[in-house]
Amino acid sequence: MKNIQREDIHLISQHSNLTQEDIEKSLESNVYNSKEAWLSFFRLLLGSLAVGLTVSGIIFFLAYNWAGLHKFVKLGLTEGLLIAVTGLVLLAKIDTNTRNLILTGASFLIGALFALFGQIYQTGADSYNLFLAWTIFITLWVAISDFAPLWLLYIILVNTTLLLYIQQIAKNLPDSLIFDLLLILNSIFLISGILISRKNKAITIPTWFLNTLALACAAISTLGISIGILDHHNLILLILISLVAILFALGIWYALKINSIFYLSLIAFSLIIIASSLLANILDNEIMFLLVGVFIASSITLTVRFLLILQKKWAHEN
Amino acid sequence: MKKYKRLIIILNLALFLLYFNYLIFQKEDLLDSGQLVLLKLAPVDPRSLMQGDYMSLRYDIPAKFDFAKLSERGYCVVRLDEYGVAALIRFQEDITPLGSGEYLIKYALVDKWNLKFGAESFFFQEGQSQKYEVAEYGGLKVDDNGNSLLSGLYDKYKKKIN
Repeated sequence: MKNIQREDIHLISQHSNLTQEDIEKSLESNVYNSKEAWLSFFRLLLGSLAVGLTVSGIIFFLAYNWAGLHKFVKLGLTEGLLIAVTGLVLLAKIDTNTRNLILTGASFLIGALFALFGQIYQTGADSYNLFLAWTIFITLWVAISDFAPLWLLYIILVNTTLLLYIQQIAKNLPDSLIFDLLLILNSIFLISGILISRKNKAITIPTWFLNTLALACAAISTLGISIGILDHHNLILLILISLVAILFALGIWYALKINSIFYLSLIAFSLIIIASSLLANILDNEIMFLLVGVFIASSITLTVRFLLILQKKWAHEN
Repeated sequence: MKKYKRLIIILNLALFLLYFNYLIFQKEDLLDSGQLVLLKLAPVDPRSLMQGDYMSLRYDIPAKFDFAKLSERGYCVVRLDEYGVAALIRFQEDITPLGSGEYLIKYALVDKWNLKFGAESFFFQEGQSQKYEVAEYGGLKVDDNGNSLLSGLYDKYKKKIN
């Protein structure tokens, strides 16, 4: 048994002649966190708090003193801070995690500077350019950091830039194409993430990061198809449906391979929502609402039951 | 930390600072040397447009025109009266032809009914909205290539609201 939980020890202690010391020992080695784990947790927690609070402190300082400061003071202060923060990354003898946290703070500061620029020079309508520039000017940092939170910020920025591009520049594209493009973009990130983490053992990509990406892909698929069904944009919807079909098939195959309940439940619930909107679109009356309600209740019950059985089976295999 | 990572971090910072300060220089140059053009704000009940800390602007000139024939991007040619208030002469796709006393403002078509010059909202500190309610004109600084920058709001006496 690889993964001993608190419940397992509890169960064994009642049905065996283990002494109290034995139980304590096994709890300590298997369940309780060590001093090092707590230390690194606190280092990460306090580090994130420090970076987050410093950046928001600057933003609030500028916002409160907006009228009292000359524009060059506002820009100069923030630029100076960015240089100082980046200098800290380069000079101080700090561990990799803290350094990456500071680099993430610096990446937020670049965004804050662009926001400041937009406010001072009243370029509010130009948000596509600002987001594009923000994305471009943290790319190198993201690439060398190997740090999942920074990558997440980067992916959010790429998505935002793409959205703004479609809204502000490429206005002739049909709206429903947005979902196709977003899905392609995020599934490329997800699939390369999975491939990299499996092929290259030197790089560890945290599970929460991949799960967040998978959640984003599933949300885009679900929303895109549900809205597409109501909009009747047939060709674009067809592209989206084929993309989603391929992705979901890959997802199920991969989930069964690595015994992941997360991907399976994600896909199942996404399919339930899509099926419900399809049903609701066929007939728009009270009977259909009742039917959709019954469908949702029963399909969710069945899915949860199935997933529980699967989880039990996989737990025994390990 | 490996040496090449250090270099890349510095390189990224340097590139950003160069680009960012160049942007600032560009805007400051436009503010210093650009021609002030006052555009009448469209009477769309400015009071109801106050939203927290910014005011959305609509200029009066484009409101009278049929945009169906306009290209997506182009230039708006204006002539100034003695107070600097702009009157629309015509729309054109290139920066030429341009007669003497005429100024260019770059525009982009938002949809069938709206044009934008790049400054459709005016940001100010929270709680200052009363001051800007009397605004009658938006003051744009424009250069020879039609780039424009909103420099402030002006009241009916053509005085800048500070």
